[in-house]
Amino acid sequence: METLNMAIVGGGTGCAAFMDKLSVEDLGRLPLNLVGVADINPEAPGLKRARELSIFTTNDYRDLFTLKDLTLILELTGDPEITSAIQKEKPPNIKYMDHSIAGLFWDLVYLVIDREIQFRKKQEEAQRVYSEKMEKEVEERTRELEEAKKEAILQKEIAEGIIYGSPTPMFVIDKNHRVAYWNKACANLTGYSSEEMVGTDWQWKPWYKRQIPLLADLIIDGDYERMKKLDERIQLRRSSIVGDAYESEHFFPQIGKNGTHIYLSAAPIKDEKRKIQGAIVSYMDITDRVMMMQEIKKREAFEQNLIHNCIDGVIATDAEGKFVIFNQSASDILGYPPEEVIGKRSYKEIFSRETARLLSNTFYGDRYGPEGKIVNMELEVASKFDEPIPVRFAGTLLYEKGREVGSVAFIQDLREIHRLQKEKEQSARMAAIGETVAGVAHYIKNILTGLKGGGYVINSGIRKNNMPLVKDAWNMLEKSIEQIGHIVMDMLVYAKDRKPEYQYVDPNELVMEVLDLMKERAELSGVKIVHELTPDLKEVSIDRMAMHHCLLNLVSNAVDACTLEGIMEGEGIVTVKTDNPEPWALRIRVIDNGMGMDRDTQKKIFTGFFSTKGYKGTGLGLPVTQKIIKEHGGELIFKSEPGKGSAFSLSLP
Amino acid sequence: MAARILIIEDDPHVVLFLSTLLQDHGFQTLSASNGLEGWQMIDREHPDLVLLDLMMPHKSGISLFSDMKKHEEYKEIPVIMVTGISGETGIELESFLTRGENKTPGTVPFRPDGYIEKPIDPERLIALIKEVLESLWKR
Repeated sequence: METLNMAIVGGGTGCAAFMDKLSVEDLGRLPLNLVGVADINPEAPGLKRARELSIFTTNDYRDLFTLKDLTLILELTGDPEITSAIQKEKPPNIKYMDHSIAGLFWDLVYLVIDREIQFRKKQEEAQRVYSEKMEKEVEERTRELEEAKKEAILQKEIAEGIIYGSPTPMFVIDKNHRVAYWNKACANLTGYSSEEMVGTDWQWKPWYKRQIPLLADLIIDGDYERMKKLDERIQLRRSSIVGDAYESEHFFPQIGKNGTHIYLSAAPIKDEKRKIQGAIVSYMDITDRVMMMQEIKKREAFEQNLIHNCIDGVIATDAEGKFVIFNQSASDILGYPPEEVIGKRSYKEIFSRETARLLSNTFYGDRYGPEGKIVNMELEVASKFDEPIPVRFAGTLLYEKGREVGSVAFIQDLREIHRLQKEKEQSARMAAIGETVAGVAHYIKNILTGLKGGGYVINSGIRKNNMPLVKDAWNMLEKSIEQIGHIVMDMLVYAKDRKPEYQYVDPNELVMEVLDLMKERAELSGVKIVHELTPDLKEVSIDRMAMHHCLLNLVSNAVDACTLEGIMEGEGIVTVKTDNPEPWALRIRVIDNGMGMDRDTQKKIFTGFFSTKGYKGTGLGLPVTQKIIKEHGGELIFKSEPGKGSAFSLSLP
Repeated sequence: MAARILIIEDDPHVVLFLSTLLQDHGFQTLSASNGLEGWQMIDREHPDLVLLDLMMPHKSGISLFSDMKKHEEYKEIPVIMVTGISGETGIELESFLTRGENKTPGTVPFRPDGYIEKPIDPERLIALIKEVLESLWKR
């Protein structure tokens, strides 16, 4: 827009106010220049103001027409004469505005000026508010920054404090492989102090004899190739907790008295740009743990060994009854390889239904040991190959908090034991036979002497025609033959493993039968037999023949005791008594007042072929008697006193 | 004068046999049925020879023999032992004789002048008796 060069005619107050506005408000932006003012009164305020502002002034308005580049004359006098004079006199290129139009113009200019002023004010206000805000913000930021700095320092101090004060041995190396921190615990573990270590690259020294890069060094260098090699040696693994960290367990012979097992973990330290600035290594002495583990492993191995090599079969089941232990011996005895049954089968699946049920019933019953246990039950089980195998079974149910969680059992193979037992019995029998043969030989020799002697005396008697001698000799032969009969009978009873043939017998009737047999012999020897029988005794179930033999032995022994060698004084008496000392028991007592027995004799009376009767005794009577009574489940006891007699008491259930 | 022989034996039938046998060969016989009785008989009759059974009730033959050998006068009487013990039974007579009463330290086990095993062979017994008596007379 073209700038308007303007002059004013009439320097009154209106003119002065206009100029004030123009100068004070600095309306520079308006394309308007005041270039001159004219008034006839030299003291007019407008003129004065213009002079102050170095604007051209004059007392004759015609002077204004000469101003260069004047484009507009503004008339503010309000005098119509001047108005018309100017219109007539002004050069045509200068525009003219009289006071009436000028009033309107003024209003317009004021309006514009006011708006401009308002706009400026608003702009200034906005500027002020903005800058105030900025100031505050800057202040805030500055404070935050300072606090963050403080915080960072604090954190660094805390971290260092943690490292130094931690009971865990730790050290830190920087990216140049120099020790930055070496804490107290680390000093304690290694014997190298923080003062010695910090700033050096001796971090390897406590651990190794020669300098080799530690895991931390490799982490800083990112040397994964060497790390791999290291891995083969110390079994490196990535940390499960901290990313980028590695851990390992390793034995350091240099540390401690007998070396130390150490768990170590190394982690990189990264800055905010994730660049590695150092590495931190922490150690844990796990010697105790390792030792304990080794001990446990050793013990486990020992127990495994024990179970595995146990001569007895060891079998354990879990809560479901499946086998969890089935050792080699169990396998040898039962024929199932361990891998065929462990975790796969239960008792029900290797034994017959009857055997499994028997074991179960015995476990939960109290026939062999208390409930929950089986103590040495002997039974026969079938092996995998259906071979019957005698075993001794001992087991116990396992409980945890009252709940059954399985069982463990020991199985002893009795085949060998049974075989040995049989052998032993056999050899005992052989020894007994040897002894028997010796005893029998002696006895038979006596009889043979009788037979030979009898033959000789008969011949002698016939030759001398001495009939009484022949008769005596014949008697002698008969006696010998009778003795042969006796010993054969006794030997059969003694040696044979016979089963009693039971029948119901009235005990009194049996006793009387024996006494009748003995009566004649006793009378010949001058011995009196007395019986005191309790009437109406219950019948007993016994082997009649055998018991008859026993009673005959006891009574004839009693009679002999009263007659032997004729040293008895007074009358020999044998008393036989029967009664029921208990409702279920029968007792038969044979009492004599004969010679009695001394201690030595008492000890030997049940030994085969021991006899005090010389030629008359086979030494088999009492052993045979005792054997028969034992076979009946009864017992034979005696009391005896030398010179006073003996009492034998036979009890039967 | 015929020699007098004392038979100490608990089996009367054996006594009958032995006395018949000995009498048939011209000896006089005496008899006792156990050790005690035998001792009394020796004491009373002073026999020329004793036939002694080992196993007897009331003082065994061993005991009687041992007593005789300790006796000033009777130790000279020859004794022939009659026994069922032999090699067959597994017991050596020697060891049998050296046990029991003869175990006193320093004493030499006594040996009988002869012994004969049951069953008794008549001819052997007679020969043995004659042999023992002859050696006695030679002394």
